[in-house]
Amino acid sequence: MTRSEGRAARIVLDVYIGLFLVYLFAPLVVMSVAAFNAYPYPSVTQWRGFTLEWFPALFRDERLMRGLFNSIVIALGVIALSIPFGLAGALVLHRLQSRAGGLLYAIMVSPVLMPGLIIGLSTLIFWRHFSVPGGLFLAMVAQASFIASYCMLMFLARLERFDLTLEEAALDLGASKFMVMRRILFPYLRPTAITASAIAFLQSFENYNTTVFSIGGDWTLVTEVGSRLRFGLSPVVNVVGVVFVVLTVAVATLYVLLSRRHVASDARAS
Amino acid sequence: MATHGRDVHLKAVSVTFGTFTAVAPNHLEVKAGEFFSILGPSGCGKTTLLRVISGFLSPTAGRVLIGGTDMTDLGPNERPTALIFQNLALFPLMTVAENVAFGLEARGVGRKERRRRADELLDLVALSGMGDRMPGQLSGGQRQRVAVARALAVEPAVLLLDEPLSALDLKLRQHMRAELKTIQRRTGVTFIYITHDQSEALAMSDRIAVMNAGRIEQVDTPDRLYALPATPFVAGFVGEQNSYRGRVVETADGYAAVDTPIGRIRGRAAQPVAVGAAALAMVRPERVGLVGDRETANRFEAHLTNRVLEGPVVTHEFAMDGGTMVAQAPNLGIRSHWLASVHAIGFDADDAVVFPVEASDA
Amino acid sequence: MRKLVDAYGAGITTVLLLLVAIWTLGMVIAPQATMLDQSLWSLERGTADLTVEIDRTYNELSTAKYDYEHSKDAEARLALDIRIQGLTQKIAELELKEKRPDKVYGLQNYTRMTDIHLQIFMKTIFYAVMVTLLALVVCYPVAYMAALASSGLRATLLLLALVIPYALNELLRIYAWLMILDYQGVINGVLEWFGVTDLAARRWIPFLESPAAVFMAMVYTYVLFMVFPIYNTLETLDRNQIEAARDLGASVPRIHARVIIPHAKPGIAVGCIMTFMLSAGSYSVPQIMTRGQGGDWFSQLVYRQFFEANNWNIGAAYAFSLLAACMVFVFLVMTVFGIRLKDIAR
Repeated sequence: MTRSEGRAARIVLDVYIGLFLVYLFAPLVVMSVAAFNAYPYPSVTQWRGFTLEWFPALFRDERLMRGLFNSIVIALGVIALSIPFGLAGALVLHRLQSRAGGLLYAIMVSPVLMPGLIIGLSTLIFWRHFSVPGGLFLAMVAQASFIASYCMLMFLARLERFDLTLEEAALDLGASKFMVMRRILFPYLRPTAITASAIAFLQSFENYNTTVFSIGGDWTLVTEVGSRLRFGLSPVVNVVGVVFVVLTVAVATLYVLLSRRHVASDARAS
Repeated sequence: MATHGRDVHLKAVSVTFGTFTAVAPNHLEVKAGEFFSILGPSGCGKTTLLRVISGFLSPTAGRVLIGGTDMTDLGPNERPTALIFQNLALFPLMTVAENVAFGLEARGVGRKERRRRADELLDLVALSGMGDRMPGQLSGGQRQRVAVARALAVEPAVLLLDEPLSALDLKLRQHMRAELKTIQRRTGVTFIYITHDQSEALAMSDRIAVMNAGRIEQVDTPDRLYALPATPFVAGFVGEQNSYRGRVVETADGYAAVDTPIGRIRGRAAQPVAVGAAALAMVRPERVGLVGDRETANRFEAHLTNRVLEGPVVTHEFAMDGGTMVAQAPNLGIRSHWLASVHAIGFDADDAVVFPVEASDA
Repeated sequence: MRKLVDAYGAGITTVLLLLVAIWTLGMVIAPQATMLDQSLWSLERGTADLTVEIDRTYNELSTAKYDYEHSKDAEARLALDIRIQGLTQKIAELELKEKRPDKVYGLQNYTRMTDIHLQIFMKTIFYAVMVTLLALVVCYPVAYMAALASSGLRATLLLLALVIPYALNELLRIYAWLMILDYQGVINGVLEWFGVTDLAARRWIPFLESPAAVFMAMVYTYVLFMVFPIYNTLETLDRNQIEAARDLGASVPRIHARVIIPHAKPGIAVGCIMTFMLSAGSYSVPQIMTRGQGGDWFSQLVYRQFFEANNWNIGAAYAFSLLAACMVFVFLVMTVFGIRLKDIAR
């Protein structure tokens, strides 16, 4: 490869990445700008002046606020379900290297490879046999069934780096198996549990494809936005988008800062 | 320290994994309060044996007695043993004091008392005032000492050490040897020390068991092990050897003469040998010297082919008809006579040892 | 099982196994099984034979009634009376059977898929494959750039730039594209400045009527699922290998073909699997981009079977077909790329 060929390839790549970034951010910009347009339909082409009126409108919107509340309830429920399931699954798999372990692994990972609507529908059908209709509970159960898989994978990855001699050392010093779990294993897994909870919350909160098939007549913030996108558009939807972005970026920044502090103290500790 | 070591008695202990025999049936008696080493190359089964004594592994057959009590069926947390792992296995998320006091916590000792005992033990291992650090903040040698303190905290009768010094650099390792030995004397706990490093074993142990391929070949004091190896393996593994295969031509009073490619070697027979049998004659390099006109049992004319200065000692490599021989001598400064080309080298019959070997080996 | 008890003790093992059982059996296997079951039966109304028999019984009844009215013999009348009662009861039973349909097991829900629905199914799978390939082409250079072709800060910024749009909810991300491609959207607006379109005169370019609009939004929506698996594998590639290949005189395409892409294979496979699965099963993108005007995507069909036609049996069969298609795709990709299930979950 000649030098000039390398440079040409480099320029092509840089230009491509530039275009890609435009592709990534253009919708974001359009979405945000429309949130401040006084025009009563979301638009950037029909500019009627800058306004903040859609922000208070969001907080006056009872359906959206109720949806927000439902979303948070479901997300908390999903954490409460998927963390224990994921943790138990990872702990079991960690010790089963046999064929049974392989099969169990396949079952636990399969929800990740299934389209979300399948998970929502199968949950809906299953629970109808117990006369439980679609609603917040089913949405929570459906979401947890695949979010637990993500949690399991995270716990398993952490467990695979666990130094088994720590456990043996504790046993050798007279610890019971319960104490090993409480004093050695759980503290070791705590950072993962925190990360997994955060990811479970976000996944649940943002979920649409599974939720819309299992929520019945109830709604979350996202399914409500989904139905607004089909009927009755207003820039309030854009405001939701802007709030989403600002909150997520804020939480992510906070998380990075905190975890960096954690990493620093971890580095000192190991 | 109030603890006193107990004896460990292995009766015909063997361990097999599937068809693989990790440990052949072995008997072993470790005396109470002894610093006992198990020495062998990696894969010889010494760590397996240690795991059997500590209770992490059930032997396929045989019994494990500690202090005269059969403990074969007890788990590691029910035995009066404590294990120091090769990687130390300090709990990274606990402070040094919490690490040391972990065994006491498991026994339900109160927080205050735990801390007091931990500080006491940290004093013992010269880590006073380090209790609130995290293990990650300590140096290699300090971590080593925390591991010892943590193991001693449960007042074990037997302390098992699985090559705990292997991660340290040479200087620190030598220092820690002395320190372990001191701690052992002060506490009176039985130490069973696993290592593949013969100098480590020779330096610290009261007695050493040499293991090879799952079998204990010899148990003896370091001096006797070095001077009077019972098997060719022990002779070769502990210290250096010049070794020559041949056939026994003569035996008398515990001595034997072996015809080898370099000539006849007379030496002490470690085991009874018969005339005509295949044998192995071995002599340590430091026993080989210039003999000049002196009368010796073994004498060879040889060319000096290489001279390697190792500091306090100098290694000389000789070539003669049928083979080579290495001689080691203290460095006495520049003595030009070594540099001559042909020398008479040799050693006494007591310095060489003769082992019978299987015909197929010879 | 022994290993578990050895590791955690009997008490904790019981709790762990219980949790695992609730999750895998109660939340994964049983729902899938009931969905499969639901797809395998349907309620069948009476057959033609039944109708004929009811008619014949009615005829017999009226004959018997006629005989009864015209008979004088008391004994014969009694016999006819019993016969009439019997026939009446039989008719009631037959009619009940006709009204309450039978639960019939079979593959009818699958085989009765109409041509148009089958066409949509095939089209959805085809589109999902297209989206996957498109996403691969779009994302490979980006992953390459982030993992290998830029240094510290630039790579970090690029990764950050990839993640930030994901702060926006999926629906809103798609909706943003709607705003851009709509009749009165950004692009048509910009084109108006150049005089290409005239919004007031309703002269605009109908981007939304092309499947490309759905493709564009879908690639956008699932870009991360393609970039990150590839990025993760590329990151483990020793840059010296590229240097060495370059040093040996290999051209840029050759370096990619022989060094980089083979190394990225597992990541490419995982990216393809995730993107295909997400797009084949996507309900949000076609729902928003087509504004529910055309039943263009199979997921929308499934939704309507359940919540509009209220035919859960057919809906379940459709959903299961979709699941089967995804499983086949996963299996194919895994075979072609020679990766195991364990590699997928990284």
